[in-house]
Amino acid sequence: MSEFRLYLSLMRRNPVYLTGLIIVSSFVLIGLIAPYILTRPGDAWGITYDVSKRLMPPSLEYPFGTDEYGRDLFNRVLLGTRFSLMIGVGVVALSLAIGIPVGLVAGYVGGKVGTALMRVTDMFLAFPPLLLAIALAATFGRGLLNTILALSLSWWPWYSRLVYLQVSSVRNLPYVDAARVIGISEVRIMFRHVLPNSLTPVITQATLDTGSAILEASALSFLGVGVPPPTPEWGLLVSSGWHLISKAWWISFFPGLALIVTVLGFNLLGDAVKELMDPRLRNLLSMRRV
Amino acid sequence: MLKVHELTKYFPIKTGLFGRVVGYVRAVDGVSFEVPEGTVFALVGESGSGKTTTLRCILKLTEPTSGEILIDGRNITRLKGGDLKWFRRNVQAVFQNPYLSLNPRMRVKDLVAEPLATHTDMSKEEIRRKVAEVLALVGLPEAVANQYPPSLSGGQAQRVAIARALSIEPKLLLLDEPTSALDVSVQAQILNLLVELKEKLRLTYLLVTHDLSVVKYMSDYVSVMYLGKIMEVGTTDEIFNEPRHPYTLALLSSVPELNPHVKKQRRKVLLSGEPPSPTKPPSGCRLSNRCPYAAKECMTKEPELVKLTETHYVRCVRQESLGSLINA
Amino acid sequence: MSEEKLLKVSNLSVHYHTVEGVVKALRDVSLEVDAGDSLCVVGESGSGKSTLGLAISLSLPKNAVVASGTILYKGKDLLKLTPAEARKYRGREISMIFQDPATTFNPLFTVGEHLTDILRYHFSMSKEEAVSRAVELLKMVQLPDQLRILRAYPHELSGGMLQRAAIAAALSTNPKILIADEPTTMLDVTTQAQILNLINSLKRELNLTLILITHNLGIASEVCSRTAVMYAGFLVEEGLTEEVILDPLHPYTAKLVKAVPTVTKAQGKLSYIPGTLPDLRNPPVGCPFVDRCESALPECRTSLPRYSYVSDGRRVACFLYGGEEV
Repeated sequence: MSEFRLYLSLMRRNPVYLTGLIIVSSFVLIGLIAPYILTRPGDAWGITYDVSKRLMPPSLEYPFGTDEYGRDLFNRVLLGTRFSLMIGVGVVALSLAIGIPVGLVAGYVGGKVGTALMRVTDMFLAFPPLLLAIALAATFGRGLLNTILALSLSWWPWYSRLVYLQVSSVRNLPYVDAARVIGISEVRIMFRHVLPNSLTPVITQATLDTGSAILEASALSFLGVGVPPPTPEWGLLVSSGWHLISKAWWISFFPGLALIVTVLGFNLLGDAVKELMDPRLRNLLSMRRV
Repeated sequence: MLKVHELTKYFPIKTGLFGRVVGYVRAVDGVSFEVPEGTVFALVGESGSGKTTTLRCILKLTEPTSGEILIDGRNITRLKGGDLKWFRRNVQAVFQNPYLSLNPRMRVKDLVAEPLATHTDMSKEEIRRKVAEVLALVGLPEAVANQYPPSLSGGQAQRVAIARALSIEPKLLLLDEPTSALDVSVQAQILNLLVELKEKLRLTYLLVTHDLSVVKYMSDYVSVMYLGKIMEVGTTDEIFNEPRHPYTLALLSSVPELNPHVKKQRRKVLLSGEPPSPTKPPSGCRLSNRCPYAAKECMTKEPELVKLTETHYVRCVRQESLGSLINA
Repeated sequence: MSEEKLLKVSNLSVHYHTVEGVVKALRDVSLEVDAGDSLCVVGESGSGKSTLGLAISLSLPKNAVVASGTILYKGKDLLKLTPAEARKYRGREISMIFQDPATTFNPLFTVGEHLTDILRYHFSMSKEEAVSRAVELLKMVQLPDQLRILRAYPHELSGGMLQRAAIAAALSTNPKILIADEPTTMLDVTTQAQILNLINSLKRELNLTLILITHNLGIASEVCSRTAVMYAGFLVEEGLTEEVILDPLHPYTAKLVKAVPTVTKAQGKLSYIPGTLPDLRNPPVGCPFVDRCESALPECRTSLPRYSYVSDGRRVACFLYGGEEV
């Protein structure tokens, strides 16, 4: 049975995982095509406004209602998908780019260098991650790139540690010894033999983390240190409707809902991937219902 | 071809917060032997005997505490850096478990090509041809080249490991339990292949194993190790037909014998108790706490290797008197 | 008068459901064990020998399905037991020891806690009674310093000592049958000799019924009076150990005996068995050994041979001996 069929079997058995898959796929799709399917791009980008249409509740014409500037919230939430996608992917990619080399070198070289690198990692890990991100974001100032940078700097140590643990055990495997006996240089062994065999847990974790990154970015924007207005980032949208929550609940509600659903989707998908990786479960999955 | 002189390897034992050294594991304690060119020399012992550590020292995977190792006359003990190239080109190894000694994420053809790329400046095309040649030499079909080790059978995977080691035509091949992880029917195939290759490529083998039947089948010389020291060494004929050391006898009698008629004729020597901890070997002879023939003198003084013939040496103070007991 | 056999396995087939497909690990296996017998099940990897042991001791993993057959123990079909009844048999009537003694013991508990737990679960004993019985058991397996061992954790003991303790634990419930799956494969060769010696003496003292699973024919010769040879899920030959080794009937057995290098007599070139095991997900229709057999007849490819009884208690599944088609 190929991997794919196994995955399908898992999905079939557990509709909850299937939901996760659907959510994430929709999220990615919308995020990619959002700018091209906006019905009111001006509103979405925050360029136009119409005070006569302000604070209208959800209706057929405005499915998510309008905000205090009369902007169509449906379009704004839709475009916000793209920003969340960029942030999610951006943060994970940058964190991996920092974390993997650190973990690899620390794990492979070991000794004083390894200890030093891991102490630095530990230092970053000692901070509650969100607090660190907030502090960094506040220092860097608002902006999409700054948000991604701040989050990545608080995120990379987790990957560094994961890679370090894997590399520490892989480097003692016989095929590393065998490579030395062949006469291959240590650097080449590190990249050609050790690294490819150490990445599996990291990849799994990174997929899961995309959802968390999106959530944290929205938290930063909500607090005012992330993405600046008029960018329709979900966290920002939630915070902009906060003071109007009793009068115009829809302004915070819909972006909030989008956030919850997306993060939930990633969590479910991540759980599905974890279960898929468990070898014992894989065998049980391949049994047809008796 | 290979000469090992007074090789020792002590591993420090550290405890406490600051890693204070409290003792040493004497894994290899003064081991010397010579392997003539074109022969098969076996290092036999159980776990804790030091045979694997000796192998690792010779392969320079770990540095000896003291002693010298000479290959083809050249002292390789303190070689470093660039000088290592010659050593690596001429000394290769095959390990016990091919699924662990081959990178599971590399294709067979890349695995076998890697030594060639490292040591020669052959073109891609030349390497490709050489890889095909070597795979045929070890009896593997061409189709295997594109596969990954986990999808191969045990025998096939070990052949790949052998192909990889021999692709650069080394002079000395070290074999670490080459068939212990394989099924009996496959074991025979691999052993036959190794014998064939030795003749064809004029190799010298150092075989490290606990399996005496493999030793008998393949080796010219045998050295029996226990707790870091050589207890007896000699030609295969001498060791199997005229063993002198109680430990050698115990090893020989512990091999389960197939043939019920032969069984009745064999003399069994059973050791008592457990192997002692390698940090605190017993005073006197290392086998003294388990040896059924131990006498008072065995507990006090550690015996030296005594010469019996040009090739046969034994480390036991009672070996003369035992000679008659054993062959009774 | 034929006495009821202690254990009677009939037409047992076990399939494993795996990611790569359904593996037919055991196919139509039948054998009988008398009280006091010592039977060795010999085979290489993929022969199904371990699966047989797990099936008899009711310890098959979750992805294994018994496709057909019965296992009669004292007349009762073990496969029809409810989970509650099964728990009474497992470890009590039929005990098992495994290759790696470390997996038998929970690393978080001392050996003593493990032993006394078993004793108090199956018998109503006070703590003191259980401890003194545990000491007796350790003496029985020739372990010195019993109290110290009872207080030790599994990782503090050597492989040989731990395996002895595992034997003690398995025998603590006075089982009728002891199944040992490769009990010495992970041990040093001199320790192996000690353990085999122990098993032999326990066999005599306790009149134990023993099923020993191994890939090593030499061990079969040292310990067991009868031997059954398995290949690719089938039982291909059975008889007195001496007979099977000195006069193997089945072509596989013959080749296996010749492929084992020995220490004692001189040997020519080692014979080996060319080819590989058939794919157990899609086993061939006929005899599974047909592709590697030098004496294959045309029938061998199309149908499975039934057992022919060459003499009392000596059977072989091979058309060379006239086995009729199944």
